[in-house]
Amino acid sequence: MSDVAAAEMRADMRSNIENVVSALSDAESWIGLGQSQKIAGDYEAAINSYNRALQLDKDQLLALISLGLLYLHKSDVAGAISLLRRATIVDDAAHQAWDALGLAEMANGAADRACAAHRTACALEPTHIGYALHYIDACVASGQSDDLMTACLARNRQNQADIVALVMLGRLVADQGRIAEAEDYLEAAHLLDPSAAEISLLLASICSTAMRPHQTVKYLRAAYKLRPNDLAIANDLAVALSRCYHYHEAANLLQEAMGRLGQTITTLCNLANVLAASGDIALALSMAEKARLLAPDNALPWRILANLRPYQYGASVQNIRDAAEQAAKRLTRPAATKICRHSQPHKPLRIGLLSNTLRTHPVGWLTLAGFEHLDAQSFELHCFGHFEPRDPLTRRYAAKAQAWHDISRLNDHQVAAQIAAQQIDILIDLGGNGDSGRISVCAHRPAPVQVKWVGMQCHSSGLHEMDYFIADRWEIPVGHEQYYTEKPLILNDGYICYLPPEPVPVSSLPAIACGHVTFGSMNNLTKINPRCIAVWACILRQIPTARFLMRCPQASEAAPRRLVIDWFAAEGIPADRLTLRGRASHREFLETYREIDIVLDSFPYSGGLTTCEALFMGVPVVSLVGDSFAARHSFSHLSNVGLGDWAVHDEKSYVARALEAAADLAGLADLRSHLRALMLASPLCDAPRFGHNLGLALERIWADYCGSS
Amino acid sequence: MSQSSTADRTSLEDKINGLIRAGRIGAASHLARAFASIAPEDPAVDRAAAAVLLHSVGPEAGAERLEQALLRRPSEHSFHRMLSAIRLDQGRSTDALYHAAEAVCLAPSDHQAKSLLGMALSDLGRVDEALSCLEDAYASGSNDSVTQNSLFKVRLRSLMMSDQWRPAVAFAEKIKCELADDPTLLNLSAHAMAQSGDWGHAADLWRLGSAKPSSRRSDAWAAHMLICAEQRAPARCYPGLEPAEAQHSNLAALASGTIIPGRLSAVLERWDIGGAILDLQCGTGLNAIAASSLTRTFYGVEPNAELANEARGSGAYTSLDCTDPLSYLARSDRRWQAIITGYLAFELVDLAPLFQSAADSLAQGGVISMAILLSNANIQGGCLGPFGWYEHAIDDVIGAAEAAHLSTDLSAPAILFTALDLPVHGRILSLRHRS
Repeated sequence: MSDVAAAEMRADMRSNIENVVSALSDAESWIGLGQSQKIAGDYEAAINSYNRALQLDKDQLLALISLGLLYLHKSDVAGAISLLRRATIVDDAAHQAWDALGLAEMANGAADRACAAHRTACALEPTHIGYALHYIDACVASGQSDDLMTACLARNRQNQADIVALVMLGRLVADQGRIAEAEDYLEAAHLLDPSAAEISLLLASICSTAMRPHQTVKYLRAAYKLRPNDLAIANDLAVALSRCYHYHEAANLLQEAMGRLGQTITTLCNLANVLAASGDIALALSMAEKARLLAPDNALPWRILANLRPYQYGASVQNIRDAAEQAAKRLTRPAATKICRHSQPHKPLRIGLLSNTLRTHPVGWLTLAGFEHLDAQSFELHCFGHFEPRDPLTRRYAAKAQAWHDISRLNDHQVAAQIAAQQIDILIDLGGNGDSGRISVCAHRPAPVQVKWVGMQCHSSGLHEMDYFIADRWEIPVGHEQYYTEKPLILNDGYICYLPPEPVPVSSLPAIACGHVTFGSMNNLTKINPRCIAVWACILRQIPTARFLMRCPQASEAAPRRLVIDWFAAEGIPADRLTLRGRASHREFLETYREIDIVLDSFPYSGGLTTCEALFMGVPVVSLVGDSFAARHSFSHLSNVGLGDWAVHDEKSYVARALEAAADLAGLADLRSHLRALMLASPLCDAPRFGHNLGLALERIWADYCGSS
Repeated sequence: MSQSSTADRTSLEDKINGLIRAGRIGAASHLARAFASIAPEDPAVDRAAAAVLLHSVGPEAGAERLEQALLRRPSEHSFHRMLSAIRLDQGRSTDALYHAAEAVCLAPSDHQAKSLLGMALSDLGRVDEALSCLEDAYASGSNDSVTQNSLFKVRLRSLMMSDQWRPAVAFAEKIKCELADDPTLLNLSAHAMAQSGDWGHAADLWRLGSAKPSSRRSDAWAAHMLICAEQRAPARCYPGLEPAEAQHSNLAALASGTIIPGRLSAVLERWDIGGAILDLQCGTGLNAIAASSLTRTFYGVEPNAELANEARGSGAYTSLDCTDPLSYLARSDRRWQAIITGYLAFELVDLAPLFQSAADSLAQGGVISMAILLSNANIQGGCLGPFGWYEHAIDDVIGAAEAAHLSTDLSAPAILFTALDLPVHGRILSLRHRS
């Protein structure tokens, strides 16, 4: 049934029900109607029904509470408080009323009164976990968490089987960052009462913050089984599944849940993300557009659109910039934007790195070498992000940094305050609008100069508080500046410095040993689209013995594999000419290049780190240059290494270049034998040179800021 | 939670044991206390509490709990059975025999108790009685792998004690699929291999055995035997490694991250070091677990609060300070028989302050044992390696140690761990204070 037809049917049903009920004259019937309307999401009608109930019986408790909660949902806090206070007078033992009143007082900013209300609710219903958690929120807000901790410890000593006490202790110590202890309390509580979804949700939240996605999935599955009608849980489970690369399962879960429970902006946007990751950009964009229409002033749909447009075949660079600007415009900003000024420039210059991916991640591989070679006398690095002590690249960032500030539990305002408190001169965002990105912090203008660099750097951020955009002459040629809201900061040589991994041996050309050419792609499935496949198929059709090897995490699931096979089949390439491989360790991933003769780059979104890794493994890359920043990554890397002739500007030339290379096995073999050395000797891997250039650029923009201010 | 049924209580005990097996001692402790509130009269409560104490504090604490429970319930056979197992692990065979016999007497069909009785008899040299007991237990509880392994151990040991090495080796080969999880079986089999001259196989088995933490004192000698075996075994080729490195590979230990604790433990065994041992930057406590022994008392220092909490939960440390290791050394006036550290040297550019402070803190003849990462560059001081840790040139390290009056007793190459799927090379050093 289409959405329109379903909406019409629901309207008809409501009208029928109202006709019947309007003949009734008792409050309970109106309450019943109100409950149904609330469940159906028709809040205005529900409000009307509850008001009718109160007209018939002004002290109807359930009506007072339900109406109060609806007013709270509408952000009519004063109205909510008035109704809920009346409810507590009508029945001072109504624990639901006290809890609801507490929530309303919290929304009103009256944490002390909220505390008192929640305390009463907990005293009346001491086994209610939800009330206990609300009470904790209020105590934390009113600075009474230490007293609450003491009380909870006493309660636990008195009765060690008190599940609520265990949950409260778990939540309180988690807030203090004592994660292992929190897990101990909560796991004990969970085992005592596996039917309490709130405990599973708390455990999931802890595991998610600690970046343990598989355990997060385990607890969220348990919670969803207990509450199959909770769309928020379905949403969180889908997000956790996607972090485990189970995109297809996540998409199915969301679609099923939304079919039963309705759609929200968040679920539509998450569905868009997982559909994109599963290879269906078109459907992903339609979900994002749907979300945008539902809430035109919400930043999230625009953020998703801004992220997805660079992947869309045929999207213009102006579209991409527009989407980014629309997303940025809708970010929350403080009432008066404060620009940090320092009385005099620091020596050394304080550089802030804002990112949760300063680790074994493309951000790490493409920026660490440059930062390590910034002059320590002139620059002082401060990292703002998640610290993973077991990650080797994180340790290297930490060794270089003056300080590491963990921001995982801070909101944007608090992060901005911390950056400002450190008197950061230049803040470099390395996360963009990615899953764990914090670019929205930049909207608070915590540093006088703000720069966008690697980390979802697919195109302009659209953020007017972002002053510069690190690039090079290949990424942003003359004339393309108009597509960026930032000023391009053009570095000499390339815009990144690649940190080579520990060497995996380069193999000899596979085509010579096996008698046929193997083309390959190691890019994420999100970057692959039917147009790309069509062009690749054109190449394969012209070399009937050639094979295609594709590796991406999504190929571990059956449905994405089927999708790729079907795409190729539609272009006349049978499955027996394809090899699809899924998730692998980094080393295994690199070793896959030993079976590939030529990499065919994806478009419009080109490879970035994967292109660098292909070159490191001796495999040249044929690339199609587009207009957006993301469409030119490979062009930049190839040119930086001296292989600019492998990047072409139209599909016909792309096919021709691939065929030309495949016809010259001797040339390919020769190139393979020295490509790694060529790359390592090139500016793409010359860390001291890059560090020097980056330093000069940062000093220049700081001097410009000081001059202008 | 409403009135609990027998099924619920059984389930709770299982859950507590499951948490203990998963290393979640903190959660097990909370659940055990809750259990005690729900069903204070249930003997399962005492068993669960004893199990938690055993793993959080130590065997004596667990045993004491059971002894107290026995005063209230002298006919509860499960208490005797648990006590027998604890005493067996402690090497107190006579006490183990007493409790196992009591358990069997109270519950003749309890095959686990019979199995423990058999093990205790075996430890006391009464091999024939042990075999009879174990065969009986095995027959009555044929799916019980613990009993099966016990029977194998006693048979193997009886063959070895009567110098029947070929049959012992043949028997070990026959049961080799059962060996992987049982350190004692591994060690016994390795000994049999060694006695028959097959040092290569012996070394393999001892490596696997020493990578597993065990509280049995009798298994601790395996770590010492490993060093002997490695010195005798010919180089073998392992996939992905050069032949020269083969002697020091330990694929299972690499996977479990227990190479460094195993090697540090082997050093303590080699020099027969007991007494107060300081574990600097102890992490989650693997070093102390690997080297635990009746003659050693471990004190830990760990600056990371979360890791320190986990280490406390391991029960391996008499005390544990959450502070910077070098500051601790500087202000502590205690003297140590040994100072061990797995990862501290990886985080220091300059090892001289560590050596100096350590030398000042060692008792006469004391030893410092540590892992270091090697640098190819012959420069003074450490250089940051590709894995984000500091590497040092060996000559530089030895020089810094000598400046602190520490002489080198041992400098053994080792593959310490894997990072980014690659083996990381280093050395295990043992430095002695020149008194």
